[in-house]
Amino acid sequence: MKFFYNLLIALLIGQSAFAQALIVKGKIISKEDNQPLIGVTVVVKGGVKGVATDVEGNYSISLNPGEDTLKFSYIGYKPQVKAVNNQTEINVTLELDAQMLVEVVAVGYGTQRKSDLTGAVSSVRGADITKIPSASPEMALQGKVAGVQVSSVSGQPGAAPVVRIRGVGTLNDASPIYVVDGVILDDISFLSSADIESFEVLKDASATAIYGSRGANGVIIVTTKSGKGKADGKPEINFSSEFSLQHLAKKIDLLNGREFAEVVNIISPGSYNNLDAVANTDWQKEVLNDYAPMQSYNASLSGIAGKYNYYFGGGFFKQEGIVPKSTYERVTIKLNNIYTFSDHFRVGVNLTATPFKTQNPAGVIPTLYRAWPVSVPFNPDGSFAEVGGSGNPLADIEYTNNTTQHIRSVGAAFAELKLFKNFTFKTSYGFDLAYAKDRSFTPVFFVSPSQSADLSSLTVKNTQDKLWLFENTLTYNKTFGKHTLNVLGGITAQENTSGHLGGSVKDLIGDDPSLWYLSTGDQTTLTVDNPGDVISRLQSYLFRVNYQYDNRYLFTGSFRRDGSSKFGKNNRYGNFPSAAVGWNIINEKFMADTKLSNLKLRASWGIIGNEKIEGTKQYSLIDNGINPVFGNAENLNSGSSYGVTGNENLKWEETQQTDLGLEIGFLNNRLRGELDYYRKVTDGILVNLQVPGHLGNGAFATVTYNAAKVLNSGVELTLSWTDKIGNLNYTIGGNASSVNNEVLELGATTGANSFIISGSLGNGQSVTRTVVGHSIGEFYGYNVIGVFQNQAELDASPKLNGQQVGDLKYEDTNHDGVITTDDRTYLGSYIPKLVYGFNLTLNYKSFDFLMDFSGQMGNKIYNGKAEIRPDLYNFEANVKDHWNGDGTSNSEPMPSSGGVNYEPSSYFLQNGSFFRLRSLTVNYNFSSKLVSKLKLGKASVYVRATNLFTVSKYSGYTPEIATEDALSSGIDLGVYPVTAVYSVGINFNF
Amino acid sequence: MKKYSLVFLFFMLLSISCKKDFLDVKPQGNLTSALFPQSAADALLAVNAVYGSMHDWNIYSGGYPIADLLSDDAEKGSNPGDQSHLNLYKSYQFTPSIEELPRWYAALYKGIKFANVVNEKVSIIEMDVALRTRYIAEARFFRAMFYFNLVRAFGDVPKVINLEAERKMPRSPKQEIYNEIIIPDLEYAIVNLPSKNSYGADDIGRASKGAAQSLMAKVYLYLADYTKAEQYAMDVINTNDYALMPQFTDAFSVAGQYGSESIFEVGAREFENTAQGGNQYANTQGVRGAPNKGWGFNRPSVDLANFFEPGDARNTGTIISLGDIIDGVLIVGDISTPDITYSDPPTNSIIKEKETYNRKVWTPGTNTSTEWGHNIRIIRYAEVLLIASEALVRNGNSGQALIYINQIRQRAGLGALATVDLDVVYKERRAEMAMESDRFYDLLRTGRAAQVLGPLGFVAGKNELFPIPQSEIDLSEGALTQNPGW
Repeated sequence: MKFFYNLLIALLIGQSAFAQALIVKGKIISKEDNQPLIGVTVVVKGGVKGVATDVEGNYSISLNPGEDTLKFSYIGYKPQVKAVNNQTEINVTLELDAQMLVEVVAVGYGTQRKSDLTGAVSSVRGADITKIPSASPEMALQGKVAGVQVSSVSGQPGAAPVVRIRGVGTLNDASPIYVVDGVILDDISFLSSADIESFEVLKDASATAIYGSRGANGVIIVTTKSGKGKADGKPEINFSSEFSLQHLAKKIDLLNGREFAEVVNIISPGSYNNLDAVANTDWQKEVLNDYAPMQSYNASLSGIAGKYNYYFGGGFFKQEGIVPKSTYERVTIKLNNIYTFSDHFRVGVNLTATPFKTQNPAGVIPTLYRAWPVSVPFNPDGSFAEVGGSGNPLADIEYTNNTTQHIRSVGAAFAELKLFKNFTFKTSYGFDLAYAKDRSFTPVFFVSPSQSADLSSLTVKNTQDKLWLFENTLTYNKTFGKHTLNVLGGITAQENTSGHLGGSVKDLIGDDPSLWYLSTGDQTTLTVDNPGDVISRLQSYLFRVNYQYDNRYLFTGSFRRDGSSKFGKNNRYGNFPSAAVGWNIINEKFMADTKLSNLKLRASWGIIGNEKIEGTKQYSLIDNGINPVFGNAENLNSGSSYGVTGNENLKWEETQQTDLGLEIGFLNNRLRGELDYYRKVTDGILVNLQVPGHLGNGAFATVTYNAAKVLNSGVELTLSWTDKIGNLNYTIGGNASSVNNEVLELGATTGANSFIISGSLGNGQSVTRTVVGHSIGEFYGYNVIGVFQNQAELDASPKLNGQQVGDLKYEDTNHDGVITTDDRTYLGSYIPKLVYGFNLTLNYKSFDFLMDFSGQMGNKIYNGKAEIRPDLYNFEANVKDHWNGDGTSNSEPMPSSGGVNYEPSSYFLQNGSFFRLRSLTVNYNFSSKLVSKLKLGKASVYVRATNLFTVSKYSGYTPEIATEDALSSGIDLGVYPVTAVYSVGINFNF
Repeated sequence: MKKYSLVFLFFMLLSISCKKDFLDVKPQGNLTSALFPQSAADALLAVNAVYGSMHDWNIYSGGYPIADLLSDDAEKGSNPGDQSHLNLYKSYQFTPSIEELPRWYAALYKGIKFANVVNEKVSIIEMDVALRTRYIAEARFFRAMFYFNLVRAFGDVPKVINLEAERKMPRSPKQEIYNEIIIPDLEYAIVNLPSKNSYGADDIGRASKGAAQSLMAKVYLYLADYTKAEQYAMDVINTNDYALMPQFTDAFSVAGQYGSESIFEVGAREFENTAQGGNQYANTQGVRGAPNKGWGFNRPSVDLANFFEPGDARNTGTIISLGDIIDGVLIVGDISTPDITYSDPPTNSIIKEKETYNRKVWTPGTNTSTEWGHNIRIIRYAEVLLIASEALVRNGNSGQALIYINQIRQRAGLGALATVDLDVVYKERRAEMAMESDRFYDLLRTGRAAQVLGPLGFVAGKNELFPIPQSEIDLSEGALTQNPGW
């Protein structure tokens, strides 16, 4: 490289000597760190001649007579102009351009300068995106953005986290939508983190209302990488690879063999007569892998070649789980190209193709939790032994063969056209195609009567999901004087289709995977699974105006009208307006002498919608397959009749959101802060309500209604401090958000349902209730106030039928002297009152040191797996401290297996607060000398630990217990353990 | 520039040209209620669905035979921990929120809805009038049966007779349900249904005139109108279409399906799903472990075993014991279930429970799917003989009653009696109908429940009816009241 520059200089010198010209040399450094700047453009003002600085920041240019002014410019820095005045050496110190540094963030259907935003938008970009070893890119948001709760709820390979923005706004799916390069999607599992440029989280109505119908739970805009120019016009090539080991972060403390036998002897005296002879199997150790590998490789090539801007990315990710036979393997191919034909016209395409494969494990966690430690895994002959509890977990794993092969492709092609003056027209066609082929095979096996299969069986399912999105927008941009105006209008249409064809068969001709096809089984057992496709369509009109005056006064107004096929003709369209104002106080004249570097106020209001329900809920469908059998020959006859009643009056769920924001910066933005207050009221929440039995919809049938009103409000705070001590640069950042969730109305529009029962444990017991005045899905059951210590206390106390001394004592909440179901009460919520994260970044010479913490407070977890007890299962260690006579324990009852102590109660509730060192990274950057010797651009190696420690009182594998169902979250029924991950990785580019 | 403007125009037109009915998306794979039923073929589908509802597990008292558990005939069964909440029926400690009741209640009303679809929608289809009338009669037979099950269990219930039921509905007096639904529906069915023998071979199993008459006889027995009960029972007997099977077990066996004793039964095929014609009723009660791998609920009680007279074929015809060989298959039972439990451990002198199973749902075979093929016998000729006997005794014609009682006893391998009174009829009824979810209601009907079931926990003034499910009361927001004592 240096040779090239020397040659260039030599040539220039030669040329100038011939022309008798003046040669000017110099060095260009950055004001911030006095480091040389490489690739600064030095041009003769008014001419075409120019050179660039070399790796030491030096330049040399020959000037002809008359060429007497040089312009020095560099991306991100304020350009400078210098008069030559016959000097032969001009050294320049370039200063960062605050205006240029101002973040540009993606907003719906466009981009905006962060300083121009009137809405609450948070960004995550750069190194933060690839910091967590996971198949799910959205893990990057955990603990990073105020108001966003990302829960990694399962350690199963490829498992996606549950994401909530500003609380739980709806009773059904409260997940945000993702907009990937303009395509609106429900998940981003197909993307490799390495291909992502930035995440923008749109939180308030001003930002999300442009997505109208789907913005109510927040919007996450994902921008993938595009070609970046290098000074020499060559492509940039990046490589990164990472190898990780996952390790069970925490074991559940279960009884060992002897302890179990002792407890069982209390429940059924005489069960184990020789405690020294009982076996002791640690099922967690027996079943779970000690270390499971995870690997990730990514390569990309990008650049700008003339009119062609390109990015090619390729990745391979493979994760094995700590449960045997669970894997996730993914190839990602990414292609982002833009071709600029002229100033007026450009076209582009963003494409991903993602083949991936999952091996789905047996649901073995509850089984190993329940397995008796006094049972052994294998018989003396090596076969699987019968295991007390709910079967032998190792046999479950052995005989479960379930794989899914997926192909997913998401992309968009667009054309952009500048029309007349100030108008830009953009048309874009996006798509999301997903195809999955699922096969599940069970061979003939026998472990015990209740864990056996007489016949082999195969279930197959081919699923195809398709989305297309056609968007046309027209933008008008105009700056006149101090006024800047940006107007957007658009028409969009979208269709989602999903469906599957599957079937099952028994008694296959053989067990080999080559025979796992429906044709190899007993054809009389063939069943076909081919329900109608689910189709939904949306048609929308959108409009937005951004106005900015003198960088001081900001206004945004937007309006979207959405029509959805999910609603009946009368309620088909919803209108979603928003308005917002912003005031950059810092730019006022009276702030000229302040020490503040930023001060801004924002306020917004808007209505956004939600339509995340099944497409056919408005219709009363005819059910097929209600088939009788007639005749001595037992002929199957077809029967059809009315299914579950539809609700033709369904309409949009609407969220009114108000946001007040303050942004502040001190000391040249070394200290930055952002404070937001929000209030979201969601009305007409689409919820599936149980309807009275006499309507004939069948047991527990539900009909969808616009039935509830929920409030979410809270405060979000983000702070960061950046400074340096000598060679040590550091940044400390933190964020916190509070959520207050309250149900305001229920059933107001349906005239029924004063509460919603949910949180089923699957054994007929339900542990949550949703009712006005409480938060969504609160835990509901008896409040335990102690253990009956003696007969006198038992006799004197209100009690449930059958309660004995040593049993849990439930609170008589209505003070009527007896314990009835009316004494059940609200016991707490799964929604944390506070979610927070903070991080520390240190940079010392070639070393970077990064730490991310995250946590939450004030939520409860229902340990459902401990309660479900139709049979005798193993117990958690707390049972060892059981009541054993008057005064021994007032919290742990006498051991029992089922019965009065296993009613839903506060006994099974635990504190869900936790504090976690989410990630710790030490990164070493190779010196620029070494790197340039190797002809590389940059190179670094790192070691990283993820989930290194978690402070939590919860007894289960992980305190992050959440489900997509807002009514039934926070219940641990045996989650796949979340692991601690240890990684090494290398990044380099050239 | 001009040509770019044309491109712009092209796309604007393309996006505006979206059809107006773009948002009208028909549900795929299902018709909607607006489009069904419309034809004669639809009418057949709709009436078949009413029969199909009998494959719904929940329609049999929420899946588990709770009426037998409430009687002295049965114990919970299965292994002790499995569905241990069912013991709450056994001890009469169940509450209105116990989970079987809402499932059962809703399943019965779902069947009623299917019947109402036929009654309301098929009646206006232009088709063969005679066939259409038969379809409606079949549906009304079912509606009467479903309502009879509802009022017998819950007393007053919401009266739903069309498809536009209100969300909030009060309970109608059960007498009104009898007078305005059950009796008129059965009268219509009796007039318009063909006799059992006039159905073609492929339609065997459809509701017949005899089935409607038999049900009507039973209804009048419960209404204590013994004249009418006798009349309808005698109508059935006098058709000479029916006779007792020579062997008691053949009244329930695979060989005895649609036999001479069967007045109404639910056909089923050996598939572990309902759409293919399977029925889980027998699987729920079938032998646990070897050979059937059933669930083993509803275990015949020691009290029942001791009740049978010596030599009564109905003892082994009702109770399967471990070690029995039935249809050449050895009954081994379940390893994890105690064979015998005692009331007085550790002395172990009084047997509380033995591992036994309900022979009336027995299907020979070694896997669960055979159990799904069991045809439930809803109405047997033996029951009609018992109804006739009771009505005749009550109406003062013991002589004729004795003929029918002795027919039943002889088939059971017992000697003929010389006289008959109500106690004799009651005894024969228990022996004949045990484990068929009849005993509990029969004790209630005849006023003997408090005496017989009191020691088990039966509370007079409360347990005469099941409670209205708590969830229904909550959902009704005050429209539904609870039964006395609950």
